[in-house]
Amino acid sequence: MLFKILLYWAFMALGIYIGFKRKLLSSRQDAREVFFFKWLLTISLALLIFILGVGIGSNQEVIQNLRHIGFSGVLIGMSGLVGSVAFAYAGRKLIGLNRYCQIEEKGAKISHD
Amino acid sequence: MIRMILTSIAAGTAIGYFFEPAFLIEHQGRLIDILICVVMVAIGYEFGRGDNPFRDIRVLGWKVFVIPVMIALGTLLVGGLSGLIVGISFKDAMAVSAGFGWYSLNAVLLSDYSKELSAISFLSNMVRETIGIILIPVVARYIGYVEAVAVPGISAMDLCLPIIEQSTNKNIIIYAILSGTLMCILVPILTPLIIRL
Repeated sequence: MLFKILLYWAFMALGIYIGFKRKLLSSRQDAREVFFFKWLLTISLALLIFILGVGIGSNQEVIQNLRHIGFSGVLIGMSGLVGSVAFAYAGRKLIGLNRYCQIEEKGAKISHD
Repeated sequence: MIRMILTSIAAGTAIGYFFEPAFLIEHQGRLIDILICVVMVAIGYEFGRGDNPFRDIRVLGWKVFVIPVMIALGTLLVGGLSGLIVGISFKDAMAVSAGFGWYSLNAVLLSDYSKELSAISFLSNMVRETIGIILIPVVARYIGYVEAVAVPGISAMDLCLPIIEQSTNKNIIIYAILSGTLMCILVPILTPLIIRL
């Protein structure tokens, strides 16, 4: 698991390096290059979620257990989700971030891409 | 974004259930790793090209750690309390919640303690990740960007990071990585600790 996380980070660092270098090298906007990376992200993301779905759908254990312990599993999972969202909201208010994750005092310009 | 996620996951689940494509199932782990790496490069590119995303961190300082700590606390407390509704002790439900969506590890850690709890852990943490994928864009749009990081738990750092980034902005990546990393460290520490209480 640790190795995988480090691997992911290494690939992200590679992407940051490429993006940073390209920004420094080119004065004009490389619209096609930016578009290509956006396209790559969308396609690989769709594939990723698709494969994840295949794993769930073909997992007999999960499908069968769904009837047995389904309710408690779903309830605990969803409660954790709701609880962390509620606490994140409180934490965000505490340190003064607005809903677009910008620091509120200095938030004169509001942009969300 | 929401439509793309729903279509992909529905199509995947249906094909997995009805056709059980052997190749995809056998190489699922490897394929997911490769795709995450591709996704990471693409996110990194946007990250490197954009304006400095670490500006916030310099302004906020140590306060950035409030977000990951609150996310972990919220999961443990509310997750633990929910156990009382279904007739599981607060402690056991908290141990399950301490998976933060990492179903493989949490379920394995609990398997010696109780087989049933291990199965519940597998399901509940899987629900968190899967429902999380669908809810991230919804929470980002109607509640807030920081809250969207909280939704999937640990996978905010890997699998769900691109979904979070696409539904919010680049500022959020640092929070996603921070909270994912914190929870990643907490799972193998908290799970055995809680069941020994």
